Parts: sequence; structure tokens; C-alpha cells
Amino acid sequence: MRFLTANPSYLQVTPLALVILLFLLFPVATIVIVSFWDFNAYQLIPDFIFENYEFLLTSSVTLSAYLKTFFYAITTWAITLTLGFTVAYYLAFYIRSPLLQGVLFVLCTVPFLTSNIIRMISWIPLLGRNGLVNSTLQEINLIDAPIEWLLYSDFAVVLAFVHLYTLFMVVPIFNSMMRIDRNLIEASIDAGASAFQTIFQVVVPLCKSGIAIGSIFVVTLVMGDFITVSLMSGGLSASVGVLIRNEISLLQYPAAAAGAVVLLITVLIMLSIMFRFINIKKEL
Amino acid sequence: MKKGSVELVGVVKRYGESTAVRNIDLHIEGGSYCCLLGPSGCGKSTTLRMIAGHESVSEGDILLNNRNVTTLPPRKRGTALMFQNYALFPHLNSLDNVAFSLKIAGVSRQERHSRALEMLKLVNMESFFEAFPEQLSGGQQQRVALARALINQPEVILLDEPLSALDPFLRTRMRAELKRIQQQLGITFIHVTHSQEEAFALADQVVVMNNGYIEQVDKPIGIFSRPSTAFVASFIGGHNIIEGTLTDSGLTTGDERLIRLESTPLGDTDNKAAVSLRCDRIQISPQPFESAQPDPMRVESVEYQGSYVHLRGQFSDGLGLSVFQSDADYLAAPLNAGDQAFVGWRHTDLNPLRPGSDIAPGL
Repeated sequence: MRFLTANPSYLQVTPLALVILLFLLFPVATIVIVSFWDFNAYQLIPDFIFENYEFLLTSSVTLSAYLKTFFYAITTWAITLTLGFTVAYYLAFYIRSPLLQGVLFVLCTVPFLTSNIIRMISWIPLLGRNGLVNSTLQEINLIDAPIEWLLYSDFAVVLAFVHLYTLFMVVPIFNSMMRIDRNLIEASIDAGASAFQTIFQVVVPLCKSGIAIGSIFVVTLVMGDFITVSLMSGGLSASVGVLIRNEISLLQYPAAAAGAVVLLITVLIMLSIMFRFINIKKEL
Repeated sequence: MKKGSVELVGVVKRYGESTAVRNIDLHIEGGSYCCLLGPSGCGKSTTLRMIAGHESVSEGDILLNNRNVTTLPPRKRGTALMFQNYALFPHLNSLDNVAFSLKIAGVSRQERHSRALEMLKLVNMESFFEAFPEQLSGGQQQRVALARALINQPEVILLDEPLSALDPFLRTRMRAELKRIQQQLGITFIHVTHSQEEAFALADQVVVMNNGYIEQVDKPIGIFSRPSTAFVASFIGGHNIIEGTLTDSGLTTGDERLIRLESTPLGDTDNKAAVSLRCDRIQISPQPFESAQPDPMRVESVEYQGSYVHLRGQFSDGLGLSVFQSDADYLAAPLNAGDQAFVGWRHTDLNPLRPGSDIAPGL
């Protein structure tokens, strides 16, 4: 008690600390513990075995799932970064009136008023064998047979990811672009820089932290996703998230927990690499 | 002709309906220090930005070294702009900030760094070459910004209120520094400011602007001793403006007070006219003296200013005057608010004003 009255700041952080303890640290600890347990078809057996990890790390299924997940993450990241940077640049530097800027920015967020699932499902009537895209293309005689890879393919998965997550790129990049002093752009032009040189020598370095925050959002969301992959690939491809989900539905909790722990470590490593490049504190 | 001469011919700048700069003609000699002086919104910054190429010209031409540069991009003009808030790149250290334009031009790393270091030496900032802008004080940032403007050996340096962000002490020091560098390099400096003190201290040529027009172009001495319009006289301060009606024998003001003029080049008689009279050229004394006005003035306020005393007074007919009395004269016969005092001046000190645009607001 005397400790708390002497350091009231500890008292102030207690509520948040309790929330994090209860909703983050406790579940993660449980998962780590369960990942060492044994199991059979109908029960969990408290134990301390490495078989779950052994099976996970030696299985070729895991490897291909990880490769697929990395493929999704990197492709989605590259596309959302390009799109997000372009949209943010347009909003921040081309739209002069703050009112229009605000309106367009809100417009970007409108899709987020509907749920993820609905936004994904709405692609199906568009991309399906007899969907809007295929039937239109056939109507105007551009193609003879429907394009097969539009739906239930990697293309569909990446398309849905881009659709879902581009905004997570736009917001932080736009935010850091708005903090760039407009005189710096003029100073760059005064120094003889072309529009592209100005973007790569001045704008990109100055919104590095916005890019990093957006990248963290997108990469972590894609790495942990299972619903988009299973829905948009029609169950044809499996990401790490899908593997874990399958194990859960088979009640193989310890195996699923081991998969989750490995995924968590992988994502943490990726984040720590990103944090190396930028000083995130500067942005907050 | 010396390199770095700038000429504006009939330059107009319009923003939609409003006009920021109205038909300006101006010649700035190469290698001179020119100050554009005026209140905010008078068009001086717009004029500077048009010379720099950051603002398009609505009408007219801009010539640099007798070469028409009106439509050229900034870098192709041989000018360099130094921004009001310095606009240093926060992600680059001093050396890379200075070397930025060389990097854009594709100069090798080693060469651009050695040239940038030369420039930093010129502004005495070589020991801060690794510092980032946020680690530098205002004055240091300014020096780096100046070095960045100088690196491409421009013929004309354009400075947009370069000293306004500094504290008064630093301002006087940087002012001297700017003048030193300008004389050392012999290039044209065009400096926008709203401080007449700054303009007088620095400029070879002062251009007083108001409301998009040029009111007067002259040397500082000419501006101060012979302001051409009531606006110039009131903006630079230290002047009384006496308005009245022209008659054959002089200027009539108030209740038939006749102010005799040396000459009457102001226009027709019976017209409204104005003259300016320097506050420090008015003699003031509790006793009547030769050449003094026949009636005394009531002293309304006395402000001690150090080397001089600022007295404000009014005649019974409403004519008010400001007088700067030297502190020696003041101490010999101190005047207080409420006293009666006689004032007088030489006729040659009355400076006829040409009718110009309005008197600056708030002055």
C-alpha cells in the first residue's frame, strides 16, 4: 500500500494492465501451455511433449501452407502499398480544399460500414462462372468460355484481401503525408527535382512511418486470416490460419495451439524486422 | 552589365477575381541587395515567388540577365529561394540538405558532400554537418538554408522574410551575416520584409509596395528623406503627414493655418494636397523662437525612447504633430504632458507627397 501511494502512476496503469493480463497474456499463456499437451481422438491429456511441434515442423503441409501465406501476405502488401500510397498522395497533395479532402476520406471508409463477410461474399456473383464479369465479357464476344480463375483461386483471395485492407494502408500514410510541410515540396522543386524525384526523395522518406504502420496492419491481418482464404479459394488453398482452424474443428486443440504459437513467433519476427527500419514512436 | 540583373515588365498576378500584383515594372541591378518592403498582403511575397518560378505570372514578363524566364521552371532560372520557415528536409542532416540539389542532378556522393561542406563553411556551420534540422536552433537552420540556396551558384537569391522567425538579437546578427555573404559573393539578393529597419540596414535599393502596386523605389536614404506618397511616409514611420488645401502661398490646414512651402509642385491650387515632415526635424521649445508657428501646441504625451523623446501634441485647430526631440534638448528643458510648446521647422524639410494609394492600415 505504501508502495502504491508513493508511486501513484502504478495505480493509474493498473486497469489497462489488468485488461491486457486478462485478455491478452492469459489466453496466450494458455495456448502456449496447451501446445505441449497430448491428445487423442476424444480428450486432452495434460503433459509436456514436443510431438505437436515435431509433427508441425516436419510436415510438408505446414511448409506449403506457410509458403502460400507468405505469398498472400507479400502480394497483398505490395498491391495495397502501391494503391494506398497513390490514393493517399492524391488526397493529400492534389485535393486543395480541406472540405473535399474530408469528404473523399470519409468516402474511402464507407465500405467499412458493412461486415467483412458481406464484402467478400458480394464478389461471388461478380466473379463466378456465370457472374457479371464473365457474362459481360461473353456478351461482348471478348471470350468464348468463362474465365475459370476469377473465383475460387489465388487471384480471388488476393483481390478480396486488397479490397478489405487497402484502407489500413491509406489512413496511416495519408496521416503522415498531411504532416509534411508543403514548403518542402517547393524546396524540392526549387532544387530541380522532378515530380517523381520529389516523391522518392522527399515524400516517401517523410511518410516512412505511415508506410510501416500500414504494412504492419496489412501483414498481420493477412498472416492471421483464415476466413477470406477458405471462402475466396473455395477451400482449394490453405493458409496457416486455415490449417489451425481445421485442427480446431477436429478438436485437436494441442496441435492447433502449436500451430498458433509458431505463427505468432513468425509474425513477431516479421514485425521486429519492420521496426528496425523505422522509429514508430515518432509517429504516435 | 553585371550578372544577376532582374527585370519585371508589366507583371500582373491574379487569383481568380482578386489581383495580388497590379502591373509592376521594376529593374534590379545585378549584384545588388534589393528589399521588397510592405505590409502583409501587399503583393511582395507573390512578386518574389513569381521571380522564383513558384507562382505563375498572369501578365507581363520576368527577365533575368535580359533572358525571358517567365515560363521557365525554378531550377532553370538561375535563382534559388530561401523559404520563410527555412523548409529544411527533416529526414536529412545538414550536409545532405545542402547537397540535395546536387543529388537530384546526379552528382557523385563524394563530390556533392565536399561541395556542400564548402558551403557550410561559408556560413560557419561546418561543425554541424551531421546534425538534423530538429537539432539546430532557428539561426543555425537559417544558415543551413542559406548554404542550400547558395550551393548551385545562383545569380539571384530570393529570401522570403528570412529573419522574421528569429529573436531580435539574432535578427541583427543574421542581418549582418546576410550582408557579408552578399558582398563576398557579389550576387543579387532580393529580400522580402515588412520591417523598414531591416530594409534600411541591408538594401542598396528599397522597393516599397502597397496593395499590389510599387509606391516608391529608391535607396534607403531617398526613401526616408523623400517619401513619395503618404503611404510610404506612414509605413516607414518617423514622419508627420500634414494634409490641407493648396493655395498660392502654400498649404492651408485646420483653421486657416498657412504652411509656407518651398515650392508647390503638388498640382493646382484649391486642391487637396499633403506634405510629410520628419519628426526629428521639428524643433520644439517652451519659448517662442524664430520660424516657430505663431501659436503654441499642447503636449499630449511624452515617451522616453532612450536616445530621443517622442512627444505628441496638438494645436487648438486640430493639427496634430509627433516630434522626436534629442534627449539632450529634452533634458535641458523638459516638457510634460499638458504643457504648451512652440514648434517650428525649416521650409526645406517639408516634403511634398504625390497622391498615392491609401495610408497603411493601423499606422
